Amino acid sequence: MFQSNVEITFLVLVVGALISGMSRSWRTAGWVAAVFVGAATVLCWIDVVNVLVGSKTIHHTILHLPLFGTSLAVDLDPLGAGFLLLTIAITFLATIYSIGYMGGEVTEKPLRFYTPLLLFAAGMIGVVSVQDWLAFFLFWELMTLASYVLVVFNREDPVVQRAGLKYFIMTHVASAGLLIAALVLWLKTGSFSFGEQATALKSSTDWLRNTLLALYFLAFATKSGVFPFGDWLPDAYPAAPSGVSAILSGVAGKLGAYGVLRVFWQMMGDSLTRAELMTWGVVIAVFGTVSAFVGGVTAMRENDFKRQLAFSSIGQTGYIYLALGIGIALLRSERLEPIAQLALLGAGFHILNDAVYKSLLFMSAGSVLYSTGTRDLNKVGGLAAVMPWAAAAAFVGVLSLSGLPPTNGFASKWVIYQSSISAGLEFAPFLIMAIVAFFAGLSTFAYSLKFFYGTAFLGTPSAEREPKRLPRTMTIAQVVLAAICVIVGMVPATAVKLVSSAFQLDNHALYRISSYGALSTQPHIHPLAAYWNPVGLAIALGVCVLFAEFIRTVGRPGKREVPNWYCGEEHVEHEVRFRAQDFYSAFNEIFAKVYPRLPAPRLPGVKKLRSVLDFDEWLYQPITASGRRIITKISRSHAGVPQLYIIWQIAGMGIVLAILLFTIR
Amino acid sequence: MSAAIPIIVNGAIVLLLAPLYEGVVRKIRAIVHSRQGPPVTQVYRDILKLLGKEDLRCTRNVLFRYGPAVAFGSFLVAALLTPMGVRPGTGLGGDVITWIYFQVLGAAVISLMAVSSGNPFSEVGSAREMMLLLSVEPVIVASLIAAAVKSNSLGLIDMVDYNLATGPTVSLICGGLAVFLALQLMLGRIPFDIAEAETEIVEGPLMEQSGPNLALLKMALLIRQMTYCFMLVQVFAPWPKIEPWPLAVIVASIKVLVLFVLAGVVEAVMPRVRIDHALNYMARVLFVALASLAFAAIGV
Repeated sequence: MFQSNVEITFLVLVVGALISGMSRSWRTAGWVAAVFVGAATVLCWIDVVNVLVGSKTIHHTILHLPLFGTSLAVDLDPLGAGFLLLTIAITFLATIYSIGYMGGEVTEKPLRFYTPLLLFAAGMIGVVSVQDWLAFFLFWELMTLASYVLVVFNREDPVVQRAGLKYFIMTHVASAGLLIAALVLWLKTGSFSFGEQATALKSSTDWLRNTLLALYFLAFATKSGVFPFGDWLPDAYPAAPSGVSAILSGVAGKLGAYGVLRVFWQMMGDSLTRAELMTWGVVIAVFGTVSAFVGGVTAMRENDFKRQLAFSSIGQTGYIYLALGIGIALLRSERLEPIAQLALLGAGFHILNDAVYKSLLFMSAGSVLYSTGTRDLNKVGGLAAVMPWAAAAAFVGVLSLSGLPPTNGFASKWVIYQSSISAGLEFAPFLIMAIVAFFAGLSTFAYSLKFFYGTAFLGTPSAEREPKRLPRTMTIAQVVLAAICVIVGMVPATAVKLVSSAFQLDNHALYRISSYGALSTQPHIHPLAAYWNPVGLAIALGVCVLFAEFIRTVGRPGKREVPNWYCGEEHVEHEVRFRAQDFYSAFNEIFAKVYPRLPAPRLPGVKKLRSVLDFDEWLYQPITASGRRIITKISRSHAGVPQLYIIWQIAGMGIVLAILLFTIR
Repeated sequence: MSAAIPIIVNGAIVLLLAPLYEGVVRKIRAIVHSRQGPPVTQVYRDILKLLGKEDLRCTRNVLFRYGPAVAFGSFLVAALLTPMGVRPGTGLGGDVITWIYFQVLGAAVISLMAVSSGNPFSEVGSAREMMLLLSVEPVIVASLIAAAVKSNSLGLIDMVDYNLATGPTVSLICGGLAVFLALQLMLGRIPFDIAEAETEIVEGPLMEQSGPNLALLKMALLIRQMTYCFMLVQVFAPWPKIEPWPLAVIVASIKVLVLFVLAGVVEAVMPRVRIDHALNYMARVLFVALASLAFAAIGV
């Protein structure tokens, strides 16, 4: 009956959602969920390996509805498989992480967390493994709704409520655009399938085609959190429990990029004119660049570390869109096709890397939150002593986010910078984008190192509260992700091969890969020469550090532990702490207007909408109240007097007799 | 064997020559101030003496302990990637993006080390260091991208070759000017020694370090200064082409010494500026760098 593992995975996740929801204990529910997601991961990866390594596509129709021109079918091509691999793996690690994270003092039932979490995963799997807009939209909605429930998990908190509502409205307005586009093209062709709708889009008038493309772009950019469409993101990511933030930022946001790749490259790449490709490519790249800049600069100002990471997500999404835009802009151009491929490779590579380190960092943020109970950077510090493994993992994550060698963040930024500079040889504005991207990269490094790592894990402990230790499941998830960061950073050639097989790019045309994993551009294909030997440089760094250690110890110095020196003054440590908000104050004054916090506009309909969405208020509570009234009335008949019961029995017997008499006759 | 030559030469230049240059700068500063000044070998003696001093630890954090070594290592790797008159070997391998990010890695590790000490002076110092880095890095990046656009390569050595082959071009002169204007800040010298500011925040990031770790840090910062100077000299003003390579190395070293002397004179006659002034100054220098990029894009 089942011809592909994807359907089984979907069923496994739905069953898992039901079973884990039945448990009352958080611990049991967590392990049950983890087992189901783990099984799903294994099943998916079998398919992914088949598609990527065996280079075949999986196509299997489950339900065909010719009347509506749609069919529910598993349709896994390399692009979808690449995203599937990433999605399910990160979700699995986040589930493991949540076992510990949600094991604390939580009053809610696991039903409110694990069930939507698994449905969320099911929705994401559905999104990447169908090629039919109706099915795509249904799974997209399943994903959005499930994640909405997760975002508003702390439902007592009005801030979380507001964040959830903003998320709900913004993503739904955007996905309405998706639906409109699908319906318009359905009216023309009578089919929802990707292929036929693409053909219809090709033959539409220019005006209609570009309007629909704008709708697609808007929907996907909103989901990814590109500035300014991603305004929901700095509110929603911090509001969600940290495991969920990791999935939201790590993989759910990347599905927006998946959509852009699907529509602008796979569907329309062959049929748009060069001018249209150039225009759309530049539009996407400009939004990406602005997003990278705004995300980076705003994150430097932020004092709440989960918000900071959310802004950083906006920034990193900006990098991805920059590369996507360059790729789309130069697609099918005569000489610059290799650069387009290079840029697309960079985008894919950065999607992979950002998914890994951003989910790692959200988990680190969650660990700080779990341990100290506050999100304010001014109040945390010195946690490395309490959670050494998590601190080491966060260190790696921060290096990756900042794009420093030898981690994976450097690898993909290396590709993106290269492609944007090469593209700039042809179209000079891309050069400016490259410089802005460089600056944003450095600001990434500034805020992440100093703010997040520097003040949360290092420095002096704050005296306010004794930090808690982490459960083992949380630590394991973080260490695994950190290991991936380092491994991909050391052997980027393997990851480049993986991404190029997912994107069906010819990696030999992009890079010459030497036997020891060094990457260099193919001189006869690429206009810009670039060269990077990760293993050689890592060894060089290691040797240089050992040499430094040799110099350090050559004089056989003694050592002694001393207190901090305050130029002779006597201070209590935590009284003279340098607070996080004062970092970069000179810089923040310059960029104060980049992302101003506007007061939320008072919309008249919002209150009504909220009351409409509040099922408790107008559906459940009236039903339970009337039910209770009826029960009270019935209970009055049970007065506890034996004679009364006898009268009821006699009356009942009379009624039964009467019915019998009537029916038998 | 030939692959080892550039590594040995570059390593020797930055490790052995840098203290001498610093000593010369100190001598010159003393002369400008009408002082006797220390002998030019003073910096070697300082470092040797520090190596034997006691290592004081104010925290058990591993970053505090190993930070100086890692910073030293990453600056040294960047130095090995820089063309200093002899062609860097291809075995080590890295283009200009790698070069920039190894410099950044070193700076990052120093700031982390400073923050891990828990001393507020160090924290203030590393926050400033970071802001200065953020303001100077776009200038360097823009100028180097201009060079990359002209030479169609991200390899530093290709940029040098291109410049040698074509002679002075408007865009690269402009780029070199931008880097030169940013030089004082890159070297961390007065008027831009805001991050260390001895009289204000007591050496900032270096404050809690002592003995051999302090020696490593001082060496690391000297290596960085040498690397930046060689980059400026070689990428933007490599003329004339000199064979054989030992002569080229000597000429490049003399050019770098001139830069050091200039920096020393500026240092001797200027007061320290405030951080916001420095940021404003760099914003203006960035325009020069962007101009060089624009010239490169239109091909002059």
